[in-house]
Amino acid sequence: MLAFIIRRLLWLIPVLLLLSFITFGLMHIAPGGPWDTDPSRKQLDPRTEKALNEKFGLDKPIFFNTNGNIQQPWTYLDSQYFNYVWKIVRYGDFGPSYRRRGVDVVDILKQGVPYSLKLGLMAFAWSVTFGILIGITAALHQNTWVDYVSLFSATILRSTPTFVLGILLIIVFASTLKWVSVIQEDWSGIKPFILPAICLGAATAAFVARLTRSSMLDVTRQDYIRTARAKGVGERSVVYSHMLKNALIPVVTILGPALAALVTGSFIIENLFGVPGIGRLFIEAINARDYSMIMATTLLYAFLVAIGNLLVDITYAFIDPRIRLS
Amino acid sequence: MAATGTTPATTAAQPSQQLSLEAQKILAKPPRSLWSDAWLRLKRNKAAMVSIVFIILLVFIAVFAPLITPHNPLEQNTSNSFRQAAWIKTDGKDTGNWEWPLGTDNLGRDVWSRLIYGTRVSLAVGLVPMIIIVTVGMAVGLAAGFAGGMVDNLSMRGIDIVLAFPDLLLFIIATVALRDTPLGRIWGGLLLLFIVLALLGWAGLARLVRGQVLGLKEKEYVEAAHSIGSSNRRIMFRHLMPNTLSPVIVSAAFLVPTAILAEATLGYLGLGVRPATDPNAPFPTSWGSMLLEGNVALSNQPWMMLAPALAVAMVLLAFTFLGDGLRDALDPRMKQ
Repeated sequence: MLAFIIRRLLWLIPVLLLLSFITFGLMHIAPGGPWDTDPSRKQLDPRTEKALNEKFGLDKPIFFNTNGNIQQPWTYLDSQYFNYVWKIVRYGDFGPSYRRRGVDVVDILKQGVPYSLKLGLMAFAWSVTFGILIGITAALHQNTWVDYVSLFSATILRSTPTFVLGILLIIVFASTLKWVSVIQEDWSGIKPFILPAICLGAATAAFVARLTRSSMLDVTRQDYIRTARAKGVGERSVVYSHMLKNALIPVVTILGPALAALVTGSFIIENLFGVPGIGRLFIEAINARDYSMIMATTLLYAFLVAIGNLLVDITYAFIDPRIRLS
Repeated sequence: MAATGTTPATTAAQPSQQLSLEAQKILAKPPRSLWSDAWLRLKRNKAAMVSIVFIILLVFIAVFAPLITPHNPLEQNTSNSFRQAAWIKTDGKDTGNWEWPLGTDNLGRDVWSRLIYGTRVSLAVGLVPMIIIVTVGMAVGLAAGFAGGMVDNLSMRGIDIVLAFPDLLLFIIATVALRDTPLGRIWGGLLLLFIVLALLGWAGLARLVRGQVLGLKEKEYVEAAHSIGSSNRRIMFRHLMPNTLSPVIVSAAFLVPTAILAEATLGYLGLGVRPATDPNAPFPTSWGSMLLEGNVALSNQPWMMLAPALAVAMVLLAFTFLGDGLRDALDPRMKQ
């Protein structure tokens, strides 16, 4: 088990390196740079720009320094990319933000992460709870109207894009009913996150409901359920301790990726509702060509997704002893 | 096994005279292959059939868009901006009028005509990358699974790496980076979308096909084919490939809505297909761009945003129903 975890974590290194390499290259293909200002405003003095580039090492070649010295081969790696990677590996330093002068990327992310985390966790909590409850109810009333209604609405919800749902909710609750204001200012507490969390979790709730239902139906036909009934176990006990325990195994396996997707997959929702989380920071950074910020968010996302997937594999092995990790 | 893929319906149609009556009777009933069986099951699925009809209708709408639209989607008339949808009556100049069924946008362009032209981008973005992904994914998966050894190892490492990437994120970065290059300007950026979607999507399909091939390789009929001296090429394309098709078709059906959603998402973030200015442009607008334009005017003219949002949702729903139907039809064991 420990060997498996270590191997998976080691595997992350080449993945993150390659991802950072690709992202770094792509970022520099994009026209414009971090010092560009709005064309309508006063432009940066070329000398200042040169000084800034020198200060942040942006005057160096992007990947390989062809002016290196053969006696000191490492000078070939005196490039923007390798300096960046080296700083992370050696000092854990993701560099300063190029846009917000004097602030470290890590500090900006530290501000954004709690919002995204809160939003993702709220969405996760409601979607899993409701998804499982609806799935169980539907399975226990198979082929009745309860089942059909839940299955149908789950299919609709699953294929409704989050932004469509978001737009509809905003039109209904903010524009028409005026229960919440369209533009939130204060992002403390739970209340401003309710609508975004509903949107974000809807598709996951639908997915969990469908999965729970089909998994429950699968379990219902097993011999050990018939045995339990035959030996006179009460219906409640059959459902809760025999069926549920086994039916939830496939559900548990999707929880890790689902959590990672909810915490990281909220670009649209964060932009639609104006949540100041990492999704919005990322889009801002992209538009501002804030190189260090783009890199840090991308790596953070990739890391979270990988950890989510690893957690699933581990929990899977714990709850289902038939699975062996290798 | 693979031979059942091609129904000998032609032989049944012209019964040979040398055959006995008994044999003719058997041949008169067309044998039911995997595919005809699946088609029968699919035909019984109402949601899937309605979806197929809807998708075919959309294809016609996309192809014949110039004949259907009442206005040119790029025709501006600023004195006629923010007209409400036809059934919304107000006293002012922006009252609804059936000449503009869904009203007009901030520049006075007809929302209905734009919606119809948007179908083109969405269908293209859904279908073209899917075809590339299926081709590349099958090629890599077949090669990796069949060859084994180093080839398999290397391709699996590559697949693992691509699968570990946060795809929407990389998708956004790649589009931003490349949209101003010559490549990114072709068809207003549509070609770039195809390429990026295909680059991020092939790995999942390749892994699926490889898994299938690994299982099929051990089957008796493959061994039999080897023993009668069939070439590797024949085994790959006649025996292995046709048998991996049914899971591939199902996942291909689900690739389409994913791509359409990705385009709409990018468009909504202002990174999608570039708005055209040439009135004869084949892809004047996309649903994603319409969402972005509508977002600003949400309280003024809600149909600017509602129309593309509902359109995206309906297309996604249709392809999801179709995908579900195909899965139930091609793999009856999955059906509850």
